[in-house]
Amino acid sequence: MVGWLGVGGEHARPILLFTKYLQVQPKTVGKMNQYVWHVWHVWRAWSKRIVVHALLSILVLCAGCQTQISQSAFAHMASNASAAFAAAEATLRYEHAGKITSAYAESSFINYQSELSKLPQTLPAQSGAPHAQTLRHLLHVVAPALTAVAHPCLQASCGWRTQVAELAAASSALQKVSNS
Amino acid sequence: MKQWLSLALGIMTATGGFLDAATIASAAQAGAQFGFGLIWAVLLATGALILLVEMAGRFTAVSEKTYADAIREHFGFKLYLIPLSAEIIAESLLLTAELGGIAIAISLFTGINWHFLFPVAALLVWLLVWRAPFSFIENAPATLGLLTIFFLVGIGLLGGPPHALWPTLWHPDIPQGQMATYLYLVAATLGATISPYLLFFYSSGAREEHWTWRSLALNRATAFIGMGFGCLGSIALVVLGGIVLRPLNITAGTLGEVGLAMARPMGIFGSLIFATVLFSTCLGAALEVVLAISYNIAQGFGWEWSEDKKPVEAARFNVTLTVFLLIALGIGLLGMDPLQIALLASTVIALFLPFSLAPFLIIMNDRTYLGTKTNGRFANIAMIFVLMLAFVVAIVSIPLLILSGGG
Repeated sequence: MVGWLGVGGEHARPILLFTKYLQVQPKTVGKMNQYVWHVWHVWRAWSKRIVVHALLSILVLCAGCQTQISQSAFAHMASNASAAFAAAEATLRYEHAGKITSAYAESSFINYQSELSKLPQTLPAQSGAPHAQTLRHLLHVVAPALTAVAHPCLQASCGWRTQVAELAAASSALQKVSNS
Repeated sequence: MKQWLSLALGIMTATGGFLDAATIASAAQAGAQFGFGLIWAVLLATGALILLVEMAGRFTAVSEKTYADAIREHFGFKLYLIPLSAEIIAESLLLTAELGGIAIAISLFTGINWHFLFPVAALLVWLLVWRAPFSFIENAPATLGLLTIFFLVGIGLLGGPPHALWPTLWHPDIPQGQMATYLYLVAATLGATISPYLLFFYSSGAREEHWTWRSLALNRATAFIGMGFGCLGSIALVVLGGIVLRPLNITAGTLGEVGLAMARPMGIFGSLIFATVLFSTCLGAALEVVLAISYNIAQGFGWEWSEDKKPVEAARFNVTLTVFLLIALGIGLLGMDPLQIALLASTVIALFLPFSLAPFLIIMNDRTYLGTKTNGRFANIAMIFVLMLAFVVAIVSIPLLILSGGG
């Protein structure tokens, strides 16, 4: 290993041919050699200690680690959809409170539509999905919210408060099912 | 007076280069999902970037060569192709994301679907790189980017972070099943901030402005103050995300949602400020990315290059600019959400970081280029740490992308 990494002699041949092919300057090869040789020295002195400590650390982490690293695909998608409905609800409220312009709201809802339009088809197909009855109930709650996202009520005269409630309900239902 | 002006302009450039679609997206998501739990990653990335920017500027000022020139001369053309290839892949994605960010910003003003505005954004960037002088490109978008100061005003108007959020600074609140997402955002934050295109652009820009050893103080001030200011903007977004978006269960999955954090304290003015900042930072970043790729290729192949030369005087350089904009336009017309492309680009950048940064370690210690201005012991130790960090991030970025489902 040391020889191949290029200290000198016949073992240095592979690295010398490689650097010659890449047209690396000899002084650079010398410097690279020095760095590699130094690192190799340190590794030889410390390798056993490093490996033992690393193995012990991994064992301790695995034994002590009760936190799941990632969610199931269903929980992940439900969580993202919940957040998107929450954002849609906040956007609608802010638009009617005069905190954002109608153009801003329209633009935002175009993005929410892109994110959520295929939810009824893709969510049930994810791994980790609950049983069919729960899914049916969930999609029943989500359906009016999807309509609200597709046709948001940005004028004061229409039933925007109903849409806000529908979006909040969908967000809450999806968050609950993603956490269970 | 001229030196002070150069300093101010340099700081504005550094600010514009720090914040872009990827940084805005990752910062807002970090705050919305984990409170202050990722501020340490922003600070770590900023420290690394200050180090790298200072070195890139010092190298160019003293040697009067660009970073790309040095890689090619020192390591040979074939080895130079490795970081070049990495940059082409990563920056093509990032350029697409920045064009998407510009389109979304215009969409937030007009209400027009951003898909229709994407070609408009590409055309705008092309017109600027084709006709505008380097000084305009360097300073105009960055001047607008100074509006990020309003993020701090927004935090003040909200009464600052609530007490319950402060402990997340040193003890991140990571819900069950979110560890992969947390670690993915760490990698994305590092990749979004430590973007090699900024180094190639900064180094080439220093040559465009004919920096010499007299510019070393200006270089240091630009690196520290400019990057520091950019970092402040990024942290402000994390804080806004934590204060406004997190309690509403909003995860900043789209760029428009990030503006809601400014709309709450400042109303319509706040949301439009955010849209302006998004436009200016993405425009500045798009210009820097497309120029960085073109500088890199032109310098590597020994072509004429300069943004201040007429297109006919640097024909291949300008054709390269156009080709990459067309590539980004092609990727963008596939319809992927720019924020997702931005995060993917950050991951790819993180994956290729070691290839782009490793040459620094040798070049910055070469007295042939730098004379007495080579790296000191501290700079070398810091550089080795940054490289080790880059290797770790490169190894874990793709597995984390898969485990977290893309954030």
